[in-house]
Amino acid sequence: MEFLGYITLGIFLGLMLLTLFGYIRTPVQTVLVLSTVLCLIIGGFFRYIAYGWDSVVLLPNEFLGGIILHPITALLTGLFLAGGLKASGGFEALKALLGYLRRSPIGLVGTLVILINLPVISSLPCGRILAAALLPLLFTFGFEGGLGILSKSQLIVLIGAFTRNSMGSCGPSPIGGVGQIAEGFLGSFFPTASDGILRAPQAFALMLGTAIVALFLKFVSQKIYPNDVSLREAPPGFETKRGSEVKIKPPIQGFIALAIFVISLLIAIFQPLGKMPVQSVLVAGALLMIVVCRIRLNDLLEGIILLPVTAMAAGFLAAGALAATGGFKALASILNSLVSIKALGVAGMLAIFVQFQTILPLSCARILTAALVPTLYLFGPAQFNFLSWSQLAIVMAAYIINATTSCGPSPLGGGGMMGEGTMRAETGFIKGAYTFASMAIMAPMAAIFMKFLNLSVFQPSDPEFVRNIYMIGAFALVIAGVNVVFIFLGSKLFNPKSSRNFFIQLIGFLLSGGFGGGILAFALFETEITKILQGILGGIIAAFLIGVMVPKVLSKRLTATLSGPTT
Amino acid sequence: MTLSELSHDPLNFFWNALRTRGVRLVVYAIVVASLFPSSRFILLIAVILSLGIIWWREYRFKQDSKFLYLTVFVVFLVIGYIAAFINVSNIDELRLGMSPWGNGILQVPDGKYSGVGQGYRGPIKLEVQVKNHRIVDLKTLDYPDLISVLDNQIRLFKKQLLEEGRLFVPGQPEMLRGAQETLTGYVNAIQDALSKGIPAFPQYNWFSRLFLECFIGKAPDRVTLNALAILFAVFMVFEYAFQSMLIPGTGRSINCYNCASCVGVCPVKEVEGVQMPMGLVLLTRLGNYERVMELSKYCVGCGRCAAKCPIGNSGPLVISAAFQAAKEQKRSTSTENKRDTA
Repeated sequence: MEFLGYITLGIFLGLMLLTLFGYIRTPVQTVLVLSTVLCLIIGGFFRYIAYGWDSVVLLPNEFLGGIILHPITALLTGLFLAGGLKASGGFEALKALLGYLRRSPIGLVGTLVILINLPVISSLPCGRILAAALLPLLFTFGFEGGLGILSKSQLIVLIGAFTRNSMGSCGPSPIGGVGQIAEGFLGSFFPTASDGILRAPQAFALMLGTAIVALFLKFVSQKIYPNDVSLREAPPGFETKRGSEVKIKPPIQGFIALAIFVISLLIAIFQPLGKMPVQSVLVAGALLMIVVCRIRLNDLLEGIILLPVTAMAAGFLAAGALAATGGFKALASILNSLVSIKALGVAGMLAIFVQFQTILPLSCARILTAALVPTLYLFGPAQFNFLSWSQLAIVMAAYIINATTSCGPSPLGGGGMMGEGTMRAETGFIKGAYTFASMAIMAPMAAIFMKFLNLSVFQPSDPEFVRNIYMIGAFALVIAGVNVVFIFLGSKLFNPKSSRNFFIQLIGFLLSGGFGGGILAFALFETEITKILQGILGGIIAAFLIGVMVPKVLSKRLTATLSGPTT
Repeated sequence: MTLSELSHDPLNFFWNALRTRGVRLVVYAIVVASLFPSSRFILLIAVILSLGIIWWREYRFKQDSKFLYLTVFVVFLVIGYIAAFINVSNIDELRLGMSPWGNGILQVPDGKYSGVGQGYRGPIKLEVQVKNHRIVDLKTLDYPDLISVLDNQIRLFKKQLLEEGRLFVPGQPEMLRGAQETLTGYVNAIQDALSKGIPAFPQYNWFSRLFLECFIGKAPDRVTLNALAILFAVFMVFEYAFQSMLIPGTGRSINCYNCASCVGVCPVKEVEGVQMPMGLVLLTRLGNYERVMELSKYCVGCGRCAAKCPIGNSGPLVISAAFQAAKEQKRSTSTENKRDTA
């Protein structure tokens, strides 16, 4: 029966890879359902031979048991609220508030920084909600959008960084975020895990990663792909409308809806009215919007983005099918065998594992998260005992931030394509920047944050607290500093030859990947030199797999997208 | 879709009803209400309020009589409620004098009686044996969570009850989740069983029972509200996906990833705040065909979106299907209007 697990795991991974490389051009949910059905048929056949019909009858219940309803329904209710916000002019109100900020002492630059980080501040359950609402606004800052405040290069950075921040904000979201899947598992040891144990590490790492994305887009992507963004530069003599303001007059209902949204969010997070599911709070908020802001039920429905919902459901089904047929056990034993390779060990294997979703970026992070978090959980005291509970929480933080940001660089209709569409870039333009930031900054930073702050038991007078804060600051500086140096050095070496640029970029990926792997190993095993070296090697392997999948030339990929894969 | 259609073309009537979102929402509400008694009262209020607001507008602008029908229904409901309330109050008053609690056991002749009470995990079914006007035995016939009735709280109460031989108010259980509800349900089941033994024990009339069962159900609580919120989310997403399955050609709109890569290559990009063509595909998915019809004139049909879409969705194809649906909707509306006028 062990053999069955390898077969079903092979089917699942094979189908995912075929989809990723464009050989299967159907929605990824379809592929997941197909994988589920295949796994169940084969599993049923094997079980019939080995244990008889009664065992086959149990199979449907076993795979349906993989569905976790809470994140699905929480996501849905979050989307309803967003739909209500959109219909009642809440986003217009938000734009007006940003307009006031622009006129405040923080000025345009400060406002843009807030704007870029708005997704992580609001932490909606899917980054696409805010991206769909605000990307058109960002476009207006350029020449083609009318204002002409920003140059083409600046607009690329702005849109790219904002989209990066959006397509990661589903991680720390308390209203159906991806992180909640992992928090649920950690809850089996940490009693308050479901209150948001992973939220702060993810948010912090995402903010730092967003800044690195901005630098990468400015100094690397624009040099490697100089002709792949069709935004136009303002002609000489074009007068910017810096002085004039775009008159946005949101309806009063917009402000009310925004207030309802914020209050609902606060009630859902802090639960001042007693324990209740976030769904109840959000549905109540949405219904209140219908009554107060005079919107319709259809407006709530308009907020639904089916992809994350169905992807999560399909991901759970696929995970359930894999669990029922021993696929996860097979995966765990493969990873176990990686551990037995001396050069890799546990640290090396984990350095690869946390980058798994960046290596295999699908259109929604939830698909693989639903399938792989249970595997990661098994590395802890629950089964393999590679990690203690605290170490598991650290790896979970690194894994989840990597996972939640994986829809950004996905060429399968990932959220990053919204940014590419807005900046009129070819598919794959942002992939290098997004994967680099996830791999080199976010994963190690989340691990460090988890280690030094979230897992520490501190009191106001505890000197350890201050020390931990300093440690995080120091690590943030080192991690960001090293990668900034890599980006600057790389940018000096680029020339028009694409293969050379690709090679230089790959070297940068390997160096940063190794560094990130080492940091992760340090977060887990502190100063054990062997483990750190193993982590570095694992990081390099992961970085190689990520780096080679960053497109060398975009036009070829576009051709493939337009006409399907060519032989 | 008119009621007269039901008589001469019932199949078409039901098909049209299925394709109408409002009807589907009411059907969902009925399904939930029939499965979850504690949700009935909330759902009834929600449906009446929603229909009231919608039909009031139609009444104001088109003098549509649906609002009047609803008003009549509500009036009947209120009259029914008053009638049931009066009956229930009277019976409860009569029951006070014939209560099986305490010395009320003296009214109960020897025999075995079964009763039901609502516990934390569902209904508790008990059998009570009375001998010489004393409770001499208690058997749990059915409860989904047998562990609860075997635990210390219930066991202690049962022991005291058999010692006393009559029904008394149990002490406050320890702060265990669901213990209070289970103990209350257990006591209610005993009360129900003993009441059956009292000759001529006053009963609510059939109308009150039917009315309370159909429209009020059980008292709504916080758990019901939470469950309803989750069910609301699930039904809404089903409804959202179901719409495009009913209209030929619009089914592919379900596949949209909201990635906006089509917007990047579309020569039109945005019209009246709607991103082209993604916005039209999403409006199709929502079933807002009229809006798609209005905006479809801006689509130049170049098909670049189909080439760029990661799953090969064609904007113009979806838009033309929605256009056809809008035309069909308009045609059927005008036919209905003509029929009404005639």
